[in-house]
Amino acid sequence: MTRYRFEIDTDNAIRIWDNETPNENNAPFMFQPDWPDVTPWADAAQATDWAEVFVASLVDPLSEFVAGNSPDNHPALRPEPEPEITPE
Amino acid sequence: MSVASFPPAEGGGGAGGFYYNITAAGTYAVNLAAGLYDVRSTAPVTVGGVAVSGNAGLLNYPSGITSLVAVQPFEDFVTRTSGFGTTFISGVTHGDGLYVAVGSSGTLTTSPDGITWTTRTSGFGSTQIFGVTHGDGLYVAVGSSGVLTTSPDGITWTSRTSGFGTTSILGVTYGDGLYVAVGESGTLTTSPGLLPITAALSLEPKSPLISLP
Repeated sequence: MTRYRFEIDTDNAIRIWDNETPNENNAPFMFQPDWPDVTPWADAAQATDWAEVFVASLVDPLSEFVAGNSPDNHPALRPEPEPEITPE
Repeated sequence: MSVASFPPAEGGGGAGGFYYNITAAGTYAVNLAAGLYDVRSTAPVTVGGVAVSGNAGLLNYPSGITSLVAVQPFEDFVTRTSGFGTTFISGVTHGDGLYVAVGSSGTLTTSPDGITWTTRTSGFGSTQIFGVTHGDGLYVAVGSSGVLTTSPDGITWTSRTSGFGTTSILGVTYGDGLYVAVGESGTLTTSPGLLPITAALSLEPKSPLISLP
Protein backbone atom coordinates (compact mmCIF):
# COMPACT_ATOMS: atom_id res chain seq x y z
CA MET A 1 0.00 0.00 0.00
CA THR A 2 1.36 3.39 -0.89
CA ARG A 3 1.92 5.83 1.92
CA TYR A 4 -0.28 8.64 0.65
CA ARG A 5 -3.72 8.55 -0.92
CA PHE A 6 -5.94 11.36 -2.04
CA GLU A 7 -9.52 11.96 -3.07
CA ILE A 8 -11.04 14.68 -5.21
CA ASP A 9 -14.42 15.80 -3.97
CA THR A 10 -17.36 16.76 -6.14
CA ASP A 11 -16.39 20.40 -5.70
CA ASN A 12 -12.80 19.46 -6.72
CA ALA A 13 -11.48 19.94 -3.19
CA ILE A 14 -8.47 17.73 -2.48
CA ARG A 15 -8.12 15.59 0.61
CA ILE A 16 -4.87 13.72 1.24
CA TRP A 17 -4.24 11.04 3.86
CA ASP A 18 -1.01 9.62 5.24
CA ASN A 19 -1.48 5.87 5.69
CA GLU A 20 1.56 5.64 7.95
CA THR A 21 0.45 8.35 10.35
CA PRO A 22 -3.28 7.99 10.77
CA ASN A 23 -5.08 10.14 13.31
CA GLU A 24 -7.95 9.53 15.64
CA ASN A 25 -10.71 10.50 13.25
CA ASN A 26 -9.05 9.39 10.02
CA ALA A 27 -8.97 13.03 9.01
CA PRO A 28 -6.90 13.99 5.99
CA PHE A 29 -3.68 15.81 6.78
CA MET A 30 -4.20 18.05 3.77
CA PHE A 31 -7.37 19.77 2.66
CA GLN A 32 -6.93 21.90 -0.42
CA PRO A 33 -10.24 23.45 -1.48
CA ASP A 34 -8.53 25.61 -4.10
CA TRP A 35 -5.08 26.60 -5.30
CA PRO A 36 -2.80 27.95 -2.57
CA ASP A 37 -3.38 31.44 -3.99
CA VAL A 38 -7.15 30.77 -3.58
CA THR A 39 -7.81 30.45 -7.32
CA PRO A 40 -10.63 27.90 -7.71
CA TRP A 41 -9.77 24.57 -9.27
CA ALA A 42 -10.76 24.65 -12.94
CA ASP A 43 -11.87 21.02 -12.85
CA ALA A 44 -11.18 17.68 -11.24
CA ALA A 45 -8.34 16.96 -13.65
CA GLN A 46 -6.49 20.09 -12.54
CA ALA A 47 -6.96 19.24 -8.89
CA THR A 48 -5.84 15.67 -9.51
CA ASP A 49 -2.67 16.85 -11.22
CA TRP A 50 -1.86 19.16 -8.30
CA ALA A 51 -2.41 16.36 -5.80
CA GLU A 52 -0.27 13.93 -7.79
CA VAL A 53 2.63 16.37 -7.97
CA PHE A 54 2.24 17.25 -4.28
CA VAL A 55 2.29 13.60 -3.21
CA ALA A 56 5.21 12.82 -5.52
CA SER A 57 7.19 15.65 -3.94
CA LEU A 58 6.56 14.16 -0.52
CA VAL A 59 7.54 10.66 -1.59
CA ASP A 60 10.72 11.89 -3.27
CA PRO A 61 12.24 14.82 -1.35
CA LEU A 62 14.60 15.34 -4.29
CA SER A 63 11.93 15.39 -7.00
CA GLU A 64 12.48 17.99 -9.70
CA PHE A 65 9.07 19.56 -9.28
CA VAL A 66 6.75 20.51 -6.45
CA ALA A 67 3.09 21.51 -6.51
CA GLY A 68 2.72 25.14 -7.50
CA ASN A 69 0.87 27.96 -5.81
CA SER A 70 -1.21 28.92 -8.85
CA PRO A 71 -2.23 27.59 -12.26
CA ASP A 72 0.46 29.75 -13.84
CA ASN A 73 3.14 28.30 -11.61
CA HIS A 74 2.54 24.57 -11.68
CA PRO A 75 4.39 22.37 -11.43
CA ALA A 76 7.08 24.54 -9.88
CA LEU A 77 10.74 23.70 -9.89
CA ARG A 78 11.78 22.49 -6.46
CA PRO A 79 13.67 25.27 -4.72
CA GLU A 80 17.37 24.70 -4.23
CA PRO A 81 17.84 22.73 -1.05
CA GLU A 82 18.95 24.95 1.77
CA PRO A 83 21.44 24.00 4.42
CA GLU A 84 19.79 22.78 7.57
CA ILE A 85 19.41 25.74 9.87
CA THR A 86 19.91 24.89 13.49
CA PRO A 87 18.71 27.52 15.93
CA GLU A 88 21.39 28.61 18.37
CA MET B 1 -3.36 38.87 47.24
CA SER B 2 -3.08 41.20 50.18
CA VAL B 3 -0.22 40.25 52.46
CA ALA B 4 0.37 43.44 54.41
CA SER B 5 -1.56 46.18 56.07
CA PHE B 6 -1.36 49.74 54.83
CA PRO B 7 -0.56 52.29 56.00
CA PRO B 8 2.26 50.77 58.03
CA ALA B 9 2.48 50.93 61.79
CA GLU B 10 5.10 53.38 62.98
CA GLY B 11 8.18 52.59 65.04
CA GLY B 12 11.07 50.18 65.42
CA GLY B 13 12.78 48.04 62.88
CA GLY B 14 15.71 50.26 61.98
CA ALA B 15 16.48 53.86 61.37
CA GLY B 16 13.21 55.64 60.89
CA GLY B 17 11.56 52.37 60.03
CA PHE B 18 8.00 51.26 59.82
CA TYR B 19 6.53 47.87 60.40
CA TYR B 20 4.60 46.31 57.64
CA ASN B 21 2.37 43.65 59.01
CA ILE B 22 3.15 40.81 56.67
CA THR B 23 0.74 37.96 57.13
CA ALA B 24 2.50 35.23 55.17
CA ALA B 25 6.04 34.07 54.57
CA GLY B 26 7.24 34.08 51.02
CA THR B 27 8.75 36.16 48.27
CA TYR B 28 7.44 39.64 47.80
CA ALA B 29 7.80 42.39 45.29
CA VAL B 30 7.89 45.64 47.22
CA ASN B 31 7.04 48.68 45.23
CA LEU B 32 8.76 51.72 46.70
CA ALA B 33 8.59 55.24 45.47
CA ALA B 34 12.28 54.95 44.72
CA GLY B 35 11.91 51.76 42.75
CA LEU B 36 11.05 48.10 42.91
CA TYR B 37 12.73 45.98 45.54
CA ASP B 38 12.63 42.26 46.01
CA VAL B 39 12.32 41.13 49.60
CA ARG B 40 12.68 37.47 50.33
CA SER B 41 11.46 35.90 53.50
CA THR B 42 12.22 32.26 54.05
CA ALA B 43 11.22 32.11 57.70
CA PRO B 44 7.75 32.49 59.10
CA VAL B 45 6.86 36.08 59.83
CA THR B 46 5.15 37.39 62.92
CA VAL B 47 1.92 39.17 62.46
CA GLY B 48 1.50 42.42 64.30
CA GLY B 49 4.78 44.16 63.67
CA VAL B 50 6.69 42.63 66.54
CA ALA B 51 9.24 40.77 64.52
CA VAL B 52 9.69 39.85 60.90
CA SER B 53 12.28 37.13 60.96
CA GLY B 54 14.30 36.75 57.82
CA ASN B 55 12.79 39.86 56.38
CA ALA B 56 14.81 42.54 58.12
CA GLY B 57 15.54 44.36 54.92
CA LEU B 58 11.97 45.36 54.63
CA LEU B 59 12.06 47.05 58.01
CA ASN B 60 14.88 49.33 57.01
CA TYR B 61 12.96 50.98 54.24
CA PRO B 62 11.83 54.13 55.98
CA SER B 63 8.79 55.02 53.93
CA GLY B 64 7.24 55.20 50.57
CA ILE B 65 6.05 51.67 50.08
CA THR B 66 3.01 51.84 47.86
CA SER B 67 2.26 48.18 47.43
CA LEU B 68 3.37 44.79 48.63
CA VAL B 69 2.35 41.71 46.75
CA ALA B 70 3.28 38.08 46.99
CA VAL B 71 5.25 36.74 44.04
CA GLN B 72 4.02 33.39 42.90
CA PRO B 73 6.88 30.90 42.62
CA PHE B 74 7.74 29.78 39.08
CA GLU B 75 7.82 26.03 39.05
CA ASP B 76 10.67 24.22 37.35
CA PHE B 77 10.26 22.91 33.84
CA VAL B 78 9.82 19.17 33.52
CA THR B 79 11.27 17.34 30.52
CA ARG B 80 8.68 15.60 28.35
CA THR B 81 8.94 13.35 25.32
CA SER B 82 8.33 15.61 22.34
CA GLY B 83 8.21 13.20 19.43
CA PHE B 84 11.11 15.02 17.75
CA GLY B 85 13.84 12.62 18.82
CA THR B 86 17.09 14.58 18.85
CA THR B 87 16.15 16.93 16.01
CA PHE B 88 15.52 20.58 16.72
CA ILE B 89 12.16 22.06 17.62
CA SER B 90 11.90 25.60 16.37
CA GLY B 91 8.45 26.73 17.37
CA VAL B 92 5.47 26.06 19.57
CA THR B 93 2.11 27.69 20.07
CA HIS B 94 -1.18 27.12 21.84
CA GLY B 95 -4.74 27.78 20.86
CA ASP B 96 -8.20 26.26 21.12
CA GLY B 97 -7.03 23.76 23.71
CA LEU B 98 -4.13 22.39 21.69
CA TYR B 99 -0.38 22.88 21.73
CA VAL B 100 1.36 22.60 18.35
CA ALA B 101 5.15 22.18 18.06
CA VAL B 102 7.12 22.30 14.81
CA GLY B 103 10.68 21.73 13.76
CA SER B 104 13.18 19.83 11.68
CA SER B 105 12.27 17.77 8.61
CA GLY B 106 8.66 18.87 8.58
CA THR B 107 7.99 17.39 11.97
CA LEU B 108 4.81 18.60 13.66
CA THR B 109 3.36 17.33 16.91
CA THR B 110 0.27 18.26 18.87
CA SER B 111 -0.72 17.88 22.48
CA PRO B 112 -3.85 18.72 24.42
CA ASP B 113 -1.94 19.06 27.70
CA GLY B 114 1.73 19.70 26.87
CA ILE B 115 2.64 16.30 28.31
CA THR B 116 1.57 13.73 25.76
CA TRP B 117 2.46 14.57 22.16
CA THR B 118 1.21 13.06 18.92
CA THR B 119 3.12 13.26 15.64
CA ARG B 120 1.06 14.63 12.76
CA THR B 121 1.71 14.79 9.04
CA SER B 122 2.39 18.42 8.33
CA GLY B 123 2.35 18.69 4.56
CA PHE B 124 5.87 20.15 4.67
CA GLY B 125 7.44 16.83 3.64
CA SER B 126 11.10 17.02 4.64
CA THR B 127 11.07 20.82 4.59
CA GLN B 128 11.95 22.50 7.86
CA ILE B 129 9.19 24.24 9.78
CA PHE B 130 10.47 27.31 11.57
CA GLY B 131 7.41 28.77 13.23
CA VAL B 132 3.81 28.29 14.16
CA THR B 133 1.15 30.52 15.67
CA HIS B 134 -2.52 30.50 16.44
CA GLY B 135 -5.04 33.24 16.10
CA ASP B 136 -8.67 33.77 15.25
CA GLY B 137 -9.38 30.06 15.12
CA LEU B 138 -6.53 29.15 12.82
CA TYR B 139 -3.05 27.68 13.19
CA VAL B 140 -0.43 28.97 10.76
CA ALA B 141 2.86 27.14 10.20
CA VAL B 142 5.76 28.55 8.19
CA GLY B 143 9.05 27.16 7.03
CA SER B 144 11.79 26.77 4.51
CA SER B 145 11.33 27.69 0.83
CA GLY B 146 8.39 29.97 1.62
CA VAL B 147 6.05 27.17 2.56
CA LEU B 148 3.02 28.29 4.60
CA THR B 149 0.13 26.11 5.72
CA THR B 150 -2.97 26.77 7.78
CA SER B 151 -5.19 24.53 9.82
CA PRO B 152 -8.38 24.99 11.83
CA ASP B 153 -7.61 22.04 14.12
CA GLY B 154 -3.86 21.31 14.00
CA ILE B 155 -4.49 18.08 12.09
CA THR B 156 -5.69 18.96 8.61
CA TRP B 157 -3.58 21.56 6.83
CA THR B 158 -4.03 23.68 3.70
CA SER B 159 -1.20 25.13 1.63
CA ARG B 160 -1.37 28.88 1.09
CA THR B 161 0.62 31.48 -0.79
CA SER B 162 3.03 33.15 1.57
CA GLY B 163 4.33 36.04 -0.48
CA PHE B 164 7.88 34.86 0.21
CA GLY B 165 8.41 32.99 -3.05
CA THR B 166 11.12 30.47 -2.22
CA THR B 167 12.58 32.55 0.62
CA SER B 168 12.48 30.89 4.01
CA ILE B 169 9.91 32.11 6.53
CA LEU B 170 11.45 32.11 9.98
CA GLY B 171 8.61 33.30 12.18
CA VAL B 172 4.92 34.08 12.31
CA THR B 173 2.64 35.62 14.90
CA TYR B 174 -0.91 36.87 15.26
CA GLY B 175 -2.29 39.88 17.03
CA ASP B 176 -5.02 42.47 16.74
CA GLY B 177 -6.56 40.83 13.71
CA LEU B 178 -3.35 40.48 11.75
CA TYR B 179 -1.01 37.63 10.93
CA VAL B 180 2.59 38.74 10.46
CA ALA B 181 5.27 36.53 8.94
CA VAL B 182 8.98 37.32 8.76
CA GLY B 183 11.88 35.64 7.03
CA GLU B 184 15.16 35.83 5.25
CA SER B 185 16.30 38.83 3.22
CA GLY B 186 14.26 41.18 5.38
CA THR B 187 10.96 39.95 4.02
CA LEU B 188 7.86 40.67 6.10
CA THR B 189 4.31 39.91 5.04
CA THR B 190 0.92 40.43 6.62
CA SER B 191 -2.50 38.90 6.17
CA PRO B 192 -5.55 40.70 7.48
CA GLY B 193 -7.53 37.67 8.46
CA LEU B 194 -10.13 35.22 7.42
CA LEU B 195 -13.26 34.92 5.47
CA PRO B 196 -15.69 32.11 6.24
CA ILE B 197 -16.36 29.52 3.60
CA THR B 198 -19.01 26.87 3.54
CA ALA B 199 -16.65 23.95 3.09
CA ALA B 200 -16.44 21.19 5.62
CA LEU B 201 -13.46 22.59 7.48
CA SER B 202 -14.82 25.82 8.92
CA LEU B 203 -12.49 28.75 8.38
CA GLU B 204 -9.74 29.15 5.86
CA PRO B 205 -7.78 32.27 5.02
CA LYS B 206 -8.84 33.74 1.73
CA SER B 207 -6.34 36.54 1.63
CA PRO B 208 -2.86 35.68 0.39
CA LEU B 209 -0.17 37.28 2.50
CA ILE B 210 0.78 40.74 1.32
CA SER B 211 4.38 41.90 1.15
CA LEU B 212 5.21 45.20 2.78
CA PRO B 213 7.48 47.56 0.89
